Amino acid sequence: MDNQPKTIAASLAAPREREIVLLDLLDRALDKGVVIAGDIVISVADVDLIYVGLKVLLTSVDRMQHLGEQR
Amino acid sequence: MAAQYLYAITHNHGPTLPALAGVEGVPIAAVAVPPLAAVVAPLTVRSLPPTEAYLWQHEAVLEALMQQQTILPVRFGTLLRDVEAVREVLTRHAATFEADLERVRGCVELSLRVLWEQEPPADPQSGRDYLLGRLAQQQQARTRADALHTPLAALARDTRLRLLETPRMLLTAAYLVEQTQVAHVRQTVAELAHEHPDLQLLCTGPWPVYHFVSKLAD
Repeated sequence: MDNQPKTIAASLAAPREREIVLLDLLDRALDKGVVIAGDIVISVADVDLIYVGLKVLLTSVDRMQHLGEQR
Repeated sequence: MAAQYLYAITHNHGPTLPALAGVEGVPIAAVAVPPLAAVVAPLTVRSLPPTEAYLWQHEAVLEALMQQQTILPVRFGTLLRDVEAVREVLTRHAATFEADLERVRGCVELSLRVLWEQEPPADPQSGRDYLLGRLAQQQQARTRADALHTPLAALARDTRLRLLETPRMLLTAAYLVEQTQVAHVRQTVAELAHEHPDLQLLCTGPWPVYHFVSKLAD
């Protein structure tokens, strides 16, 4: 795990295997799981940022030519 | 009262929560409305940005919990007003949570993405050619995806499948798999990769069962 919080965009230069795991994490933690709605919710994650992060990572995984060890 | 960051829904009668620090290093705690409990942590922030570090902190808590009990993972970044709001969520959606916990009991989620190199379609001479080419590609994708998905789905309790999320991503799938079957599924993925050398199979997990929770009623 990293010491400093990074933005999703900053992680895009990471090695390929890491990108796949991160894409799978984003696809899950930000887009799936139990969703609570209503005025008792103070905040949920920023949808615009999520969308951009997912799209960019998806595109980057799509362009992969070769893959090594996976998680 | 402090806002409560929500990680997961579980049974109240499960094992005692492990001593775990989650997002921002704050220890997790349980809020119970028997037979359910929510795993939470008080946070002073008003929102949690989806940075990679925060996402992994959220995920680490869920992965530690799922080692010892069945959980329903909550979407990243969910902050509730206070403990009373957490109890309200457990009470209002009790029936759905209980049914979901039963459905995914003892299971984890495995992810599969498959990349393929599609032959570029011949230059279409007409709109009709173009549409026929597209149709043929989609049929080919369906056939190739089925060859991978069918043997894996046979080992899973439930599945989610998406075709051609991008042109090169033949399929994106999530499998709800009993923990005892994880090695078997991985072995099958390895065999399928061997049988389909022109495809790249990317399998990750075990993940919390993110894809297999029900949408809550309003």
